[in-house]
Amino acid sequence: MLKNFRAGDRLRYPITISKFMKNKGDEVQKGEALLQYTYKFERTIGDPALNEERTVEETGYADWGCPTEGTINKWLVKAGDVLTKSQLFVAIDEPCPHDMQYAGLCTKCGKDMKEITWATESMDTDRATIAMVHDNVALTVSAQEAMKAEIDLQRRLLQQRKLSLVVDLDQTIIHACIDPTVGEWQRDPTNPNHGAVKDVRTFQLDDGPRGVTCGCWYYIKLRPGLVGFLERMSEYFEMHVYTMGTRAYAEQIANIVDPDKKLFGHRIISRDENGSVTAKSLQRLFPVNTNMVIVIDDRADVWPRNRQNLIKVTPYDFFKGIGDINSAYLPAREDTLGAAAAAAPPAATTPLPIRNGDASKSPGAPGQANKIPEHEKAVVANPNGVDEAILQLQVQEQERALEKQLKERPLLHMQEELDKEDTEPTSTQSSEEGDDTPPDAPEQQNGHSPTPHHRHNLLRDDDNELSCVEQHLTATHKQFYQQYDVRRASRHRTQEITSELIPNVGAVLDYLKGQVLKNCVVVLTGIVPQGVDVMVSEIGLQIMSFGADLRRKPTPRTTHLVVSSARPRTDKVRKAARIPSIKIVNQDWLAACLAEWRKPKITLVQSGGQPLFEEEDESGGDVSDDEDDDDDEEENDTFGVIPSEPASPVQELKKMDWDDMDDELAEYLGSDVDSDSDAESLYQGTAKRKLDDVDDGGDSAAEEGTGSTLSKKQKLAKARTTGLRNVENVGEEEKDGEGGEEDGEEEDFNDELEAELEAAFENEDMADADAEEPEAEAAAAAAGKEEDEVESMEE
Amino acid sequence: MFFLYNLERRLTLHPSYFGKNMKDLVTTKLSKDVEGTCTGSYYIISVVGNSSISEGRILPGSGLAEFTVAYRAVVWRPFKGETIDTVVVSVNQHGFFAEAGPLRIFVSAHLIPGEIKWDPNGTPPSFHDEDTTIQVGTHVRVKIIGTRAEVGDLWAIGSIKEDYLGYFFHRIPLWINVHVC
Repeated sequence: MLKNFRAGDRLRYPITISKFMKNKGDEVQKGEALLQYTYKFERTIGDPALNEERTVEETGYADWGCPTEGTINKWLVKAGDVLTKSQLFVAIDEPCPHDMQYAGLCTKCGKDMKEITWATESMDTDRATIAMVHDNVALTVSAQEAMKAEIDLQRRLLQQRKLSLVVDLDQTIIHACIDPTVGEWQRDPTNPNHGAVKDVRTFQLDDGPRGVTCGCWYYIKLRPGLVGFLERMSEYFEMHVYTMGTRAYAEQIANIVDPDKKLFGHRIISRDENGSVTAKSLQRLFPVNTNMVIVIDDRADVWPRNRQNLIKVTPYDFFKGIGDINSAYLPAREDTLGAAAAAAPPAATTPLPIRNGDASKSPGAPGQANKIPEHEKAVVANPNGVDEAILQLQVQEQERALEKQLKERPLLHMQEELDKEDTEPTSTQSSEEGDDTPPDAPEQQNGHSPTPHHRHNLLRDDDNELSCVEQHLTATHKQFYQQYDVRRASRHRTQEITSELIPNVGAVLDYLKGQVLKNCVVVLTGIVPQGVDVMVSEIGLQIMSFGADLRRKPTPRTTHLVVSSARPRTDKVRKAARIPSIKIVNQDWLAACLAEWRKPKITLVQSGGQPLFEEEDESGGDVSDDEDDDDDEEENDTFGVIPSEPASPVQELKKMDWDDMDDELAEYLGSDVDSDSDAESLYQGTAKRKLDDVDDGGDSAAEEGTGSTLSKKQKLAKARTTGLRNVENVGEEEKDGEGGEEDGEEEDFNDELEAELEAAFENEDMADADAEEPEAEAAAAAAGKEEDEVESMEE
Repeated sequence: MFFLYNLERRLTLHPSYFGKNMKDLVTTKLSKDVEGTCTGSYYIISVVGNSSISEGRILPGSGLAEFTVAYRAVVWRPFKGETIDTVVVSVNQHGFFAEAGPLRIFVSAHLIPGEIKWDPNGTPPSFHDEDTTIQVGTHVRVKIIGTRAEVGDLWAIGSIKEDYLGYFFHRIPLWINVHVC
């Protein structure tokens, strides 16, 4: 194997080659002198005490030691050459390229690669730096070897029409916990949870955590449909396990999931071999290219380099409140999209953490908050020292979390709470259901309570995420091979498989995902914590990867406003409610989009102050109830006279912040106009409306009248806004306003232009949005009405 | 290769253990401390006897007693060029790992005879030709072609690309049965 060697940086340049000691074809050993060179240097001589110092230039002679062993192929310098800096020096034929090494030993010749001599210019261990086998980090290969191995792999997969699928364990295909309560429930057939936990698998770890948790039982719940899923997927994919659990844990799980080793074989990689303690990377297994690899994981943030290849699945949360048993090894989770039901806490709130259970987040482990930044730092730069420290912390944290789970038995507590809740309100159940039972609770009551005692069961076995994932995976596989076949057909019938022939599965995924929220302009509110930039947040990145245009503030172009049902009354909601084309949905809608890869149908767009997302079959019956909770006083429907029809224009307007509008109006009219009278008239308007409400009872005609007066006020406010903006962009408005109206239908396609002229286009946009969104008929009707009025006024 | 080796070690004993059975304690502690360790060039397999335990000397300041124990132990040192019997523990496309007691040896595909091919499609994946299959659990005779040692650990590279190396039927020699009976 021919290799060129450089002179090295440690020589005293400039140097002059004086004599070759070995010539072409000579065998050389490591450290042997190959040539002689001279260099000039200055030396100070004389007695400094007598001030007789002077420098003289002298010539030094030195040998150049051979950095490797082999046969000299060619000298790349001539005698007499003067070198001013390091350059290629000699080409040596080496008997072994040392391109695969195991723990500092060349696997081909068995030589020690860590040996350093005075002649060593670069470490031999640098010749093979890529660890690419699953179960050993000490085995490394060179870039060429890695490429060769990967091309072999790709060729084989293409032949079998397969792709690689990297599967995460915790909360993706299984859910694990060590709460001994599960074992007790399993043995107790009368327990309401018995049905759900009877097929939970158990194992003990020999070399698991020490201390209290030593020898504890792990309870493993397979995600519903897992066995069939994996079996079917193994026809399309070569599957790998990639987990942040320990090796022993991963192997135990693999034993449960795949006892015959048919699905995963030995392709299991755990945190012990991962290399990084905080992030996963496909490059660890596929160092050269990841064109044929798909990942399924419940965490997107642990794949900083491979988002493109990732299908994020909804975390499997079977043992409520336990979360990921190995979460201590990962950065704190920040992407949870809690279900709407979970966000609005049940009547008897459990004192235990519900979301992502991180036992470590409770007072027992106050260190959590401080540790997060460290984790994140480590993702960026991975110096080994830091890694070690983090590893230590993580192991401790993990042990603490497990210990806590063993001692506190969160599941048992939660079930007890549930039972308590159960026994108390049986007599008053109907009334309870009437007011503020969360949508989750009735389901629990009606759904799975086979026991005669009517005890609620805490654990429910109703997850069907895997069928979604299966659809996505098969669709991706199909798309990939369609593309491949097209490319293959266009090529001459050669056996050669080149990299440009292989489509990038990441791009395929991007395309498929990008179709889901295409043409949607999404604004989030109450979902990303304050102080976090939505554009770089986990949720934000996901939404953008699904093709949506994510914005910070609602504008008329916005199509969806996603509201957290825990915080439904934000400034953005108020703003968006003024723009009827915006569909206000809660995080369940978003979660459904991201999980099912299609937009769920929206029937109830918005109502009163409470944004809602509901499935088609649910009635809007409880809408008015929701409003009652905490709307402003003046809007309180004390006598229940306002019908709960969500599309009523009055309801639309109920969200208006009247004081705010008054202020705005006053501001606009300026000091020279008599602001008092304006304000008064507005207040009169409000008062009148209230009167109307009370007096007219359910008279719809009167209400419509009220609505129109109100919409006039609103129209005023809108006219003001538009007017101001028109002043700012007067040139653009004149120039482009007409065109915008003419080809209004195609506006969505002119996105860039649109973005620039957003402010100027406010009105036209709204009109378009109305036309496009037939689902939001009712809202649109109301909007259209207003719109006409506004436009007519402007004209 | 196994050796009987005379070694020396200094042990300390806590004052609470001072008493008439101190020698036993020291012997037990010696076995516990050294058996199964790797010194950097060999593994200490078992202590087979201690020829002398010096008188204990109280260490100034701590009160611990220090004993110098001369003992004899069975040690195992793998040599370059040695042929040993191993069990395969892991197989991948680059080769396989085999274990001989505490030592893990890697045999790269380069040092596996050309006719034994990597078969990634098998369950589990393996190296095989018509009559031999090398997969996890297979007994393989390996020649060590290089070792490297650090304190506490030893690694080795092996080869099966020579006559009489590679897959072998593991038969328990008859004389062992006789002895057992």
